[in-house]
Amino acid sequence: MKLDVVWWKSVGVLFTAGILVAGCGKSKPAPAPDISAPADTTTTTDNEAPPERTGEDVQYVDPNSQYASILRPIRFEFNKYRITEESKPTLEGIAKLLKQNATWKVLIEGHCDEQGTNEYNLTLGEQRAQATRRYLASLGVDDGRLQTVSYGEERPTNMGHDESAWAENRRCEFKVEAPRS
Amino acid sequence: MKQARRMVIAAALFAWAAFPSSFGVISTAGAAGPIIDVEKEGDRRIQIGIDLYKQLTGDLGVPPGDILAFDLELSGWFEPIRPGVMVPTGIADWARKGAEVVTEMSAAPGGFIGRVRDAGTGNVLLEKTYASSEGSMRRRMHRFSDDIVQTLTGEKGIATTQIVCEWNSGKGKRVVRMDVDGYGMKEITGEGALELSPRWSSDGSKILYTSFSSGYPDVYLQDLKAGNRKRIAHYQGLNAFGDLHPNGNLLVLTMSSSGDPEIYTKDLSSGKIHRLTHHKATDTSPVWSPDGSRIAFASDRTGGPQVYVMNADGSSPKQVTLRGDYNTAPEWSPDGTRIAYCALRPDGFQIQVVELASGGVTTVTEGGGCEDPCWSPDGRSILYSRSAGGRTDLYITDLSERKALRITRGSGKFTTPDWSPIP
Repeated sequence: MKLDVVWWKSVGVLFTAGILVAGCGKSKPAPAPDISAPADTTTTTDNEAPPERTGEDVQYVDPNSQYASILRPIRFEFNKYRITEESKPTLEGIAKLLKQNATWKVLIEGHCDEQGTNEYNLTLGEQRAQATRRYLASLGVDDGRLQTVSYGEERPTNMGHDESAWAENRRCEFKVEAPRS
Repeated sequence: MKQARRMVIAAALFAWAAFPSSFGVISTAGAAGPIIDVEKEGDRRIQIGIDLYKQLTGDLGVPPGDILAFDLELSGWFEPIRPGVMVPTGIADWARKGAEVVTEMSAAPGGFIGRVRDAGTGNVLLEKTYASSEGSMRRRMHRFSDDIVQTLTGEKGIATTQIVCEWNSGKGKRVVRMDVDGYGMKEITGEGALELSPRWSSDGSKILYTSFSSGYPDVYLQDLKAGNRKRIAHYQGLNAFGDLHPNGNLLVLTMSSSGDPEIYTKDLSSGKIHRLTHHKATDTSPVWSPDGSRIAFASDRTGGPQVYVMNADGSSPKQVTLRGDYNTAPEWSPDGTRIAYCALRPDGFQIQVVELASGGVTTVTEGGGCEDPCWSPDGRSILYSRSAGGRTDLYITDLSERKALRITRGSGKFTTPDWSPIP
């Protein structure tokens, strides 16, 4: 079947997406606008070099048992990086803990399930980590204490290949700065 | 069709008759023009009889005929006919089994002689000595295959090309390279950090890849000859998926220092950076068009990820995948007219090709689990990874008959391949 390109073009992109979903056996709802999308960050010119990464030497470790229940992973929907309603109380608890311990630095690790291309998932994991960072900052945590990294689909926590494993793997984890000796 | 080919075979024979002394190098058939009419017979494979040539096995481990048969099948031009239980005893016997041409190999001082004959007439179409000083037996078999392709089709073969990909042995992913038939695999860095998304420079001398050597994703450039590497992008956030401009030092890549993944270029000579996308969405996986005038990339700016094409300066982005709501990992065909990508279909992840002029879409793979396509340098086949039955391997599918050939056999998972240029 050949696509009538002219017609498709004239319909407009969002409407196209709606039609495609409606006509598809395994339908998925049309994606809603993402409320956790980043603010427009074009304050620099296109030719300005971005800041080089700092803090590569900081070592992060799993939170100890006292705080592990607070700094617990948050989950995401398939192919989404929006902070879910279920995750918000967890992030509020984390923000409170970080405000009580003003010297702590935290690494937010973004992860994905194995579905989809590895490259896209590395970017999606970055979006999850950045969305989480922005949410914590909006709760009053100093942004400079939050480092992010994406591992994409490279470090699953559940090695299974079904929806329950995937749901566990679509996550952000929190690591804290290791005590300096 | 058959007649057209016979005529060119006749032309080749004429050339051979006129210049028999040229043997010992390649036959002059190439100079006389191709033997198969590619325009008219492009979709048909030549039936080629290939014996095992066990007497030449040596320390190769497998009969050389097996290597040659795999190479010629992979080329997309040939259908190998193997000896079977009743080994053909002569060229007429091969012809009765359906062979149009027959290969022959025999030992020669310091190497072997590779020959191709017309199965109908017995005439020699190609004869060349492959000296052991020219490389390993496996290497020389690949060259024999490429010479057969060149002689009988007039086109360049791909048997001496290489592949880079991610290899996960269970201890994390490393970038490895191997011959196109899956043999001779070696890690390119031996470094031990998580390594992703390797890609050849257009001259085949360097490999770009993403490594977590610093603990964070950065883009590195590995010089294969010098054996060293440089970290070329390590800004705040994600630095990944570099692709070098076909004419030189301009890197296009994904970076997230602005707060979300955007596409940038970096001039590796001057260090100058230029941001190309400005969208509150994921913009990623950029690749230069073969002529360097455009960039294809994936973006979720309209919902699910779709493939877009923009000009080299970031202007005029245009969505080129219009069906489905998950299309990623774009790769240009060598002639720049088509883009292959990974699409989520009702039957799973498949490789599709969109023709840019018409918007026509073709699904290349079957069965799902297929990701990360790239093109053979001759544009006739697509290489991709496929997960099935607990394994993840690399497969090559030719676009005319869509026959999938698995090229990786070892343990571990093989993903995100990229195909070298023809050396």
